[in-house]
Amino acid sequence: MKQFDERTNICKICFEPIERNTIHSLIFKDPTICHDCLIKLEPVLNKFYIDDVECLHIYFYTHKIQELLYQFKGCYDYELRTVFLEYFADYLNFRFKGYEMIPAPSTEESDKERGFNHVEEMFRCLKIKMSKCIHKTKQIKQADTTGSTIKTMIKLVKQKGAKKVKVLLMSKTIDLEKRE
Amino acid sequence: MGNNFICPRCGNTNPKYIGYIKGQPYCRFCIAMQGKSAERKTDENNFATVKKLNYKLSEEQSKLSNQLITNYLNKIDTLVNAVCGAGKTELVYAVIGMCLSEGKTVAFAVPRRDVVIELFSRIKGVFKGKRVVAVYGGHAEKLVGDIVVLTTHQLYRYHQFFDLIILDEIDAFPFKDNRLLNSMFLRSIKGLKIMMSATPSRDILNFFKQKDRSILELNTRFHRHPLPIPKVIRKISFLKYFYLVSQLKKFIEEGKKVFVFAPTISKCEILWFFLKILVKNGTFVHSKCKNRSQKISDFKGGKYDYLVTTAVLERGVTFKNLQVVIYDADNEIYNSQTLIQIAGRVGRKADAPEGEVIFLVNKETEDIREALETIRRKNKHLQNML
Repeated sequence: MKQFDERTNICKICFEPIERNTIHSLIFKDPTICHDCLIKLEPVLNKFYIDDVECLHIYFYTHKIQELLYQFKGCYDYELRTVFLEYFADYLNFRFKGYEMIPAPSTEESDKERGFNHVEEMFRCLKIKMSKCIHKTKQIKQADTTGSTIKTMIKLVKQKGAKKVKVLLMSKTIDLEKRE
Repeated sequence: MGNNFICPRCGNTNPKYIGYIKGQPYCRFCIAMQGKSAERKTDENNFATVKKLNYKLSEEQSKLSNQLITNYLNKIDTLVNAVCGAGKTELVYAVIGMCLSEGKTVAFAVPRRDVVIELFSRIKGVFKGKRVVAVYGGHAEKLVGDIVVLTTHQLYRYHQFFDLIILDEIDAFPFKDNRLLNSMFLRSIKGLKIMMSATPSRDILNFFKQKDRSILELNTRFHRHPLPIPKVIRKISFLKYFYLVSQLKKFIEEGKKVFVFAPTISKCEILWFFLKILVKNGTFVHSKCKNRSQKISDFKGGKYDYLVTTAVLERGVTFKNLQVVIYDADNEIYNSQTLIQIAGRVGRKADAPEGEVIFLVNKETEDIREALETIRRKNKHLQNML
């Protein structure tokens, strides 16, 4: 059997080796997914507003994203943590310079069962200071309507006297704006 | 770090499929079968007897059925090689009943989800008073019963659980040539296996020719009519379309239902787009259709006259008085086994044992020739017997 070379990167999604010495590898150093898979995720980087708060979302909640997200948080596939954001890390670091990051909370029981908090792990590849200051209690219910978690969080953060609030979303359901 | 990790679930050792969570290796090859929704069952006891079963068998069928019981008692794995429409499902009822009366658990696994749903209602009708459970993607609340009807994907939920497992349509996608599903299948068995197919591959035939395994053959349909022999019609590009339209109109006038098979999803939609201009009262079905089961049951109910479909309906479905047209049968996705399966949709009911199968092609391929030869050979066997 051919010895497994640990230096060759293997795409975390399609398991094919990632080609070296291409223009793509020149721009992005040591990516964990290949270019083909990135295109299949269909990144959009759109801006929209919720109650006059600027929101940025990277993907739409497509079938592919849904599948991967389920594999990550439902099947506990820890290796997928960098897949969603790594290509945009530099840009996001620049855009959110000076900000502090508050991950959207999930209940402690589900975190314990999973072994990790999926939101924290996903956004850890950004070099922004993260403070886990909001916790989910039973009062904050599971998102009944789309965006209710975001709205509650914005309200809480503003109450505590934050000067400027921005929202970064990994993916956004397509009809969120229509419901507003 | 741990390059010699072996997945306890699927037996994978390839390091490229191994991920690490907090330094602990885990398998990513069978990741879809892990996590919070992956509840597992290993054992449960229950004892009950089976009442008399209510179904009829032909002479050959009952002979085979008895053979299966003998094999079961002698603990021999069996391959049933029977033509399309031979009544394979009815053959195993007796063995299932035998197994159930010993208080054991039986699984009936099929690769396709639509087939599971149909099979579930059939088996439930025969084994009244028994707990029959259907398990398929999106429907897995109840996992334990006396008879579990399930897709091959769902076998991962069971570990050395079934005393008898019946695997139908072993040559169908996605079970065929799928290493992961095969290892899941072997892992779920505690006792014996019966495999069934109309078109077994050479590997499987060789496997069952070994010692302590047996092959049972059934070359006639239960109503003793010959298999319909496909007509190969050669036409160039758009002439195929006009020929198809004229044939459809003819069939519909005679009050017959028609399946039109197209090789891919996009071709299926394009073909339907053109067909609906000239031939009314039809629809299309493929694996990406959301209301697929609704459309199929509508077709059964007589709402539509014809159905343009991909290979989703290639096996396991029974409609009365059905005619089949394969558009572009020379496409490379059709091998001889699929062609035989599709041709086997026709004439499956005793009161409508004949029908037409048409292969619309640009040119005759090797696979078409092989399929025709196989069907003729099986028919010859029938003539010798009568």
